[in-house]
Amino acid sequence: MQEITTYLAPRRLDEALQAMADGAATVLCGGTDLAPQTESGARQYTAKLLNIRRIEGLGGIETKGDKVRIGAVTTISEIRCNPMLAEIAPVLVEAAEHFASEQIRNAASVGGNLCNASPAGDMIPPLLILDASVELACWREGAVQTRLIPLEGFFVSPGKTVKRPEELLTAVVFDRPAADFVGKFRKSGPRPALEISTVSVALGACIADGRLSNVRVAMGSVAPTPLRARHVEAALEGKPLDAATWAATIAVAVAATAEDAKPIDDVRASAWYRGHLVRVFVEEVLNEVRGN
Amino acid sequence: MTNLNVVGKSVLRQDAYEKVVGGKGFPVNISLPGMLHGKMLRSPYPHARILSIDTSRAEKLPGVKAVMTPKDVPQIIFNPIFFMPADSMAIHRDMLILSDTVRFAGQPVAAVAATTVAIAEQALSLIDVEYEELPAVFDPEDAMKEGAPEIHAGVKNNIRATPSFGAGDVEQGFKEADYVFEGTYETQRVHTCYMEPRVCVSDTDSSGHVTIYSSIAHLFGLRERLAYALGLPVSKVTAIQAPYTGGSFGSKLDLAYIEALSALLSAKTKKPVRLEHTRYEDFICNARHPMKVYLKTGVKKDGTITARYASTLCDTSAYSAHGPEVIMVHAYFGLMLGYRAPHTKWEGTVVYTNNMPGGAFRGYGAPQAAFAVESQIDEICEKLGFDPIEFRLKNTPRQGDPHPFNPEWKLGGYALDQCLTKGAERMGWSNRAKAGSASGTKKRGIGMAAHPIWVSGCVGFPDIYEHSGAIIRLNVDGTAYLSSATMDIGSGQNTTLCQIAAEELGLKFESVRMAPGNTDNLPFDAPTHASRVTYSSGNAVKVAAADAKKNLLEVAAIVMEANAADLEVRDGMITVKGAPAKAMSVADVVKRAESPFMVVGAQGPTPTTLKEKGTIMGISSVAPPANASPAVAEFVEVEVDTETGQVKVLRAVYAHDLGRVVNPAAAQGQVEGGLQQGIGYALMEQMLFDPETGACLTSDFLDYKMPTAVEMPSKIECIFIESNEPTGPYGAKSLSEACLIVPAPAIANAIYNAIGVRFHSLPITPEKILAALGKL
Ligand SMILES: Cc1cc2nc3c(=O)[nH]c(=O)nc-3n(C[C@H](O)[C@H](O)[C@H](O)COP(=O)(O)OP(=O)(O)OC[C@H]3O[C@@H](n4cnc5c(N)ncnc54)[C@H](O)[C@@H]3O)c2cc1C
Repeated sequence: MQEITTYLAPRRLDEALQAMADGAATVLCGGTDLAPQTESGARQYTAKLLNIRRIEGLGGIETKGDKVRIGAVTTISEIRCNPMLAEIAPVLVEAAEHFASEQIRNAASVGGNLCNASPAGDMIPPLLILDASVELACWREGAVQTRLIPLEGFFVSPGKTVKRPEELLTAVVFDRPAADFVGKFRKSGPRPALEISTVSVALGACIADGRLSNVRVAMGSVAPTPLRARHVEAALEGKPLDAATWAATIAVAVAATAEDAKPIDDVRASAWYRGHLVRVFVEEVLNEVRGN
Repeated sequence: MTNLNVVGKSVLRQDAYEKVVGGKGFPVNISLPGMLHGKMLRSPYPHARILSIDTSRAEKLPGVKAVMTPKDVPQIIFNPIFFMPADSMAIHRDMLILSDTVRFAGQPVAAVAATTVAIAEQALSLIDVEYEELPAVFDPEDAMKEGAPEIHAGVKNNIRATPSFGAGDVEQGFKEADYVFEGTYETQRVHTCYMEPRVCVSDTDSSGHVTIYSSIAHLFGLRERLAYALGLPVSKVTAIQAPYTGGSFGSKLDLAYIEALSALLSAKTKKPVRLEHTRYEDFICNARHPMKVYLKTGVKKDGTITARYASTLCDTSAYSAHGPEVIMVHAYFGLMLGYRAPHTKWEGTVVYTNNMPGGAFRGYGAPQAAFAVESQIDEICEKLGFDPIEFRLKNTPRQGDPHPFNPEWKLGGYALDQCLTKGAERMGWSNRAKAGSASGTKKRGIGMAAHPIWVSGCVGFPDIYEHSGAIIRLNVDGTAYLSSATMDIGSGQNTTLCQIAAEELGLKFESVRMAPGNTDNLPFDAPTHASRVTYSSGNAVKVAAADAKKNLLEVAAIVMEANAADLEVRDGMITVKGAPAKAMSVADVVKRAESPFMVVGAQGPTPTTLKEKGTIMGISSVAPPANASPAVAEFVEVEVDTETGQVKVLRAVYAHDLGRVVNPAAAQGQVEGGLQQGIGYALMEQMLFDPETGACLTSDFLDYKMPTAVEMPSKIECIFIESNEPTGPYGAKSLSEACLIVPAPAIANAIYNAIGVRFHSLPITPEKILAALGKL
């Protein structure tokens, strides 16, 4: 068993990045994934524990021009209660509503949710349909270096991302959605609250001239990583909303889910049930988007 | 009974504030100087023989103080159940503290005591065990087949017991019926999920005397079973009563491995030794027995039942433990007694498997039975067009009838009829739509279930303890101490008992305090189980309080120069009936009784009379004269989402005749908690195991789903009917277990009403619903 010998809680980003430059620090944010995982033995602390909560400038939700930026340590509660997000990206607020419980939401961060890279992470599908990117920072050659990675390319497998051990996720950024963009989120488990998603679906599209455009669909818990459902998107792109063809549009989109969702059986649900819920949710969110 | 002052009030629980600020009285917080920490090594195999254990590497680890293997423990075969005599002929003894034969995945094979938990855990990884794997069997039906693995030597086909009983001629009864219904109903293994883990600290002194602190539901049971397993006389074990424990629901009614091992490790190290279960260990230490019930009912055209036949297959798991007892309570009080039939027969089979041990769980076999009985009644009513309320009224007993278990008792206060009719009215039962007639994808339905006959303790049960004791002592400040070995497992037992004592003594509730003790200084008490505490311990407390009051009034009569028979006590004041001006406080009377023989007053020393001297006390050790039956009917409304298969319970109306409500808030809490566990049982909870290794896959709350506040209906209405039971304290009888017996069948019947589909196995998961709707 590894003992923690160094605990750091820096206030400055460069200090934090220097402390983790050797790639050997354990990053602690809300600890709502880290603590249960170390407790159960699923992973071990390294000798250096780095609390990133106190780093100045790593939290907050802001817009600059048409860019929206959510700092990594922003809590799910902050997202849930943010009036600006409620206006410009309500799908994020909706996902935050369905996230865990009050106590967990107060501690859990958006950065932790992304870095934990669970196929069931609830902030991921809505951020995928907002076409978000993550900002990664590290200390190299005596300076802070950052790179921007599209969220879709961030996840590798359960618990694994392309982020290098010496890198810190500093923010998630996305373009302010168009005024006619509508996004919806649905999640389910055997119980509706305090639940790790059995499956989740987020769907967004621009609605103009009675048609769907820029359709983006994302799913959680249907594959080793959260994913963009490209087949469903293709089935919906440009489709009209009129009553005559709508049922057929839904049918095609629902059928396409089989191409994107490849769920598995586990103690929480069977693959069949997960596939079924994806079909039900796609239909439900499509109807909601159209009704909007 | 109109002039009750304390009974019937939602007084504030005495431990409420202390629990909210951390609850230092919970046994999990016990810490003794020099205490060591123990851990158990558990078998990864469900069935194996241990060929060798090498502990040398573990023993060398700094901080390790003792390692224990099967050869270090007494080879005394025991049954762990607390509430029956340790040498009872009615139970089977087949367990050892540590055995060379492993019969379930997770069975302890060795134990360690070390200076820290972390060192103890590390030491476990340094113990080398060589196992010979044996074939295992997990399905009770497979276990009975020829050629199945033999789990206990000499037990043919793994069949532990085959009890049966009946009356009349059941074949004849089915011939007399116009219709015969049959069905098989299956229930799953579920865990109680108490909050406080099983934990204990043992301190064994140099003479071998064991003192033990433990989170259990039966103080004297722990003493007796631990002594038996260690080969000690009971007087060499002292079990210390915790002021309260963090839940039991039946799970803390048997000796756990930790208790015996901590005592042995303490004897070996000469230090106190603490062991605490992880949540995983709690999950695999006991659970509700899964049962398969076949039920056949003969009915006449007019709705009279002519015959009832049932058989039950019970997986008692790797060890006998509760299995042979739980199946009897299941059969009598769950399946057969509630509904009248001239011809009955029941046959049970208790089978060993390589599953984790079965245990006691609120309702002790009755929820499994009620799911069968109450579902089938719904099927009968649906098929023959009877109203389910009318049908039940026709076939159930009434107040004044002989008790169906023992005709020498009467159903003294008994109002099942009111539970049915008042509950139905509140729910709007007459507006119930035809089954499956709801339209749309979110279909609502209402359903109900009743449980006509249940227990208020175990009077009349073979070889189950039932007596209770209490000691009341009055203090010079006018307060009273109540001592009783009854364990408060979180339901507010202490508060209820203090209310009864205060009422009887004529004191304010705040003037009575529970003073915890231990098995050296308390009279025996049966456990906190079987819905018995208010009725049975309450009875003992009332008798002790009456005794103390009699002694109080005798002294008061002397000092007040009145006749004891003319005195009454209320709110701590003693008055002469009819002459309220002549009053004296209880405090002043007790002060006189406790005063020195010469009292120095203004006039100098004055002798007091001898007669009024001494502590005013009352004591009892009694069992109630009967086993009063509560009566219950529950009505629920559900909404079934036919797209996702999810079921929401929208509303519940729970009607229960409990004789007398001693504490309305506590009673409501029992109903809500029972419904919560019932929703879990009906819709989501189930323990799952790896089919190859038998390992538990649902041993944390991520994978074992129980309902949270969010799944609870926003409206839970209680209708408490006070039939005033003649044998109960202030007319009270029982409440607790019935609250969990009825919800699952009520929910299943409501689901039927919503979507027209009947389920014969629990839990009714979304996948089962979708499959039944043809969507799979
Ligand atoms: C009871 C309970 C309920 C839950 N319910 C939900 C739910 O409904 N939906 C859901 O999606 N999740 C749920 N979770 C999981 C968890 O709360 C979330 O994933 C949360 O967002 C994690 O954030 P955190 O700040 O607590 O992360 P931490 O636990 O602090 O960190 C998680 C991981 O990310 C790393 N990390 C954190 N921040 C950064 C960063 N900025 N840069 C680099 N690495 C970083 C850590 O090293 C660690 O490996 C639940 C957890 C619990 C205990």
